[in-house]
Amino acid sequence: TLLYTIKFEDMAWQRNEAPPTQNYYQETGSGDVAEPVVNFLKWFYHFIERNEIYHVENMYEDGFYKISEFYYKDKMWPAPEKVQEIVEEKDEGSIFMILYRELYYRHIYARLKPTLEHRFDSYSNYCELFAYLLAAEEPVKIELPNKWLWDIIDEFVYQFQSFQQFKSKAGKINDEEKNMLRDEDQVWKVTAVLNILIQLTEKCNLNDQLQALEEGEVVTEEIAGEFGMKPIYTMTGFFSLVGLLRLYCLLGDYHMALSCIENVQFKDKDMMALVPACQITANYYAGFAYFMIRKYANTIQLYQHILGYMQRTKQFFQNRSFQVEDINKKNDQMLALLAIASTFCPLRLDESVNIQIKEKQGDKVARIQHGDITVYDDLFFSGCPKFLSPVVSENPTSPFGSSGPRGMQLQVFKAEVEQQRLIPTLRSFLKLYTSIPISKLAKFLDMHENEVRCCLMAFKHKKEIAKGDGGEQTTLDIDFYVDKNMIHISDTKIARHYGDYYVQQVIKLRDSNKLIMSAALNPVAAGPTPP
Amino acid sequence: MVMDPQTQFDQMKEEAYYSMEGLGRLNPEKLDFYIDYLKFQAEHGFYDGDANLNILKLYQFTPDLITRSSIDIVHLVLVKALMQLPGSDYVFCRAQLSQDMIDDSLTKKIDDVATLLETCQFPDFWNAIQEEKIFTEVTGFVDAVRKFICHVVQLTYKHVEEDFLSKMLGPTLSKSEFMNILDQNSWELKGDSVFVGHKEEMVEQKEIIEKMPIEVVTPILAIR
Repeated sequence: TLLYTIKFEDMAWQRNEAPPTQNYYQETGSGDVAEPVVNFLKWFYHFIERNEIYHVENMYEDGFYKISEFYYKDKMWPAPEKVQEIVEEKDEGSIFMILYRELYYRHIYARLKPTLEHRFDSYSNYCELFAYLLAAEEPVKIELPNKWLWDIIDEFVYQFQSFQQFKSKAGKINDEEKNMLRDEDQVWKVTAVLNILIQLTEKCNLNDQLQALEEGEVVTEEIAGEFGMKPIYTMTGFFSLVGLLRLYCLLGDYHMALSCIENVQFKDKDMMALVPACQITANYYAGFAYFMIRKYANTIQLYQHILGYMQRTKQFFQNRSFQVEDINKKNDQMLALLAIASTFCPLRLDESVNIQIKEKQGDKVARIQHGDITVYDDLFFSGCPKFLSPVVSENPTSPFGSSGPRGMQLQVFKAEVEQQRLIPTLRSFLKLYTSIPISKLAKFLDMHENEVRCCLMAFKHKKEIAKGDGGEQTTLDIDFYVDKNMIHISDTKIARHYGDYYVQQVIKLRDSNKLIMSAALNPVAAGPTPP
Repeated sequence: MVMDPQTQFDQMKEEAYYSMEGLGRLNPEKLDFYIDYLKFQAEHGFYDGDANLNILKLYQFTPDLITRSSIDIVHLVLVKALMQLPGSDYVFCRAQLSQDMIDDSLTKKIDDVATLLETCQFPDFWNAIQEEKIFTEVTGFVDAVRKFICHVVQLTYKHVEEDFLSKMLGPTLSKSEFMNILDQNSWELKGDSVFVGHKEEMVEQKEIIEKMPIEVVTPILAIR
């Protein structure tokens, strides 16, 4: 039997109390564990063993974070062996211990620097965790909160990314580490990582489930299979799909990235919406894949939608500083990519998005409009993910060099910048007319007539590609057709869109009022009056 | 018993499909099969983008598989992908190449040709492909590009001058081939210009009015 020295509700972290004394920060030789932490671990173990998912969620989301902040801000959590003793678990391979180790290593990656041994051990632990799920003949009994499942997959991909980046910094690896890497060459292999993610999606028949959902059918056991009927399998499978989307993008494989999300609907009322971080990640990478294959309308549609969502739900993330950081980063990345996309595919953007782009990237956009195309490099680097190569040789070139993974993808992007070079000028001239002969336009552009003809066709070709498979979107772009040697241009009027702007101003005013009212109620104490 | 090419292709396509399921894609033992399949496509004018792209993926994941002749395979994959314009196949392939593959001189040429096509500089394109035999060796390359050119003409023109059109379609085009193309696209020769289609709709006066989805307005709907 476990002796609880304290009731669950009375634990300090539940009441947002700071740790009582300095002592808890001092580490004694035997690495004593502070009493509140012991209690936390015992209760955590208790709830996980009994599958009380509500309490598990609370402890995971709230408790673990707060205790990390109070006691382990720059230290490791207690060693797994110690924790095993504390909770009196005999089996080091039990699911609780596997889950604890996952948290233990995740904490190290987040707050400290993992050693090579940590990286290897964490990988083994992930293998154990996924084997627990995949090798089971019957669906496992344990249930875990969705957020935790997402974090596991997200962290798994992140640690792989981290490992590849570590290996690319050949100059910083010492000889001992080099030997370790040579000996353990199966660890963090890209094929193994992909294999796990793919198997997790297959275990619950995820694609069949998604297809059924797309067609509006109810998912039955016939479709989902025995494992797919349990949320832990389906949700892990779904999160693994997003993990695959991300990994394929990082490897520059946009074809696989887009085909794996073929049946996923990017709507608010979807499996994706259960964990906001998942939704943001999925939208970012899907939009990025479309961006790289020049289907800008799709990117714009996805990013506008998710940026709006992030604005509206920002208030709910305030309690976790590291989450807010991540979300802000993705926000800025999407803005940079949107800034680029809208130069190639002028579409109507929501006012809130326009304001953000102006704030963050306004000067760069202005430079592009003045013909400075070097700015595209900066914007691309601001917006793109941290690319990887699947295999890192022993003497790799610098990851940020022009032939590293990032440099390679930049080259692909630059080809598009070059191909679009003449189009903005063409557009700006055509905007001024409803019809103009090719000869006249050629004079303005200082080009031969046939060159102009080619340019006009290129405009149409690129525009058609950019449309992608998006739905109805309000285009700001001109349209035209050529009749022998005469160009006829569309005359699209855009009615003044003030609704969005109106809403923004109302919100601003309301916030200002709040500020004024709170200042009125808490007047700032006057300073000492001069004699 | 010799099968006709279509049946052979269908069989290979099925084999490729099943061997690329799940993680099977990365099985290096199937590389030779994919290469044979690619060469078959190049010879007989078929196409399987998924399988061809997979070759590049295998090179990326298992660099040991790359030999001196692999670059020729890469070139074939790229040229076949280019034939799919306006499809995105070429971009997919381009994003999977290593620096060494990109630095190769023929790859650079193919990339230049791709740029000429994407920027619709068709007369220059016909000149450029004279220099490399790969473009004539791959069956159906010229027809595929002509199809793309017609697609772009369809997007752009109501009437196009006959001699400009035939210049764009290439110097080796015979009069009967030209008439065939007009036929296939349902275009009409009227005097010295070709009627492509009515395009007036495209430039009709449009007014775009504002639509506001409910989520945008909810933040200001005060519900106390």
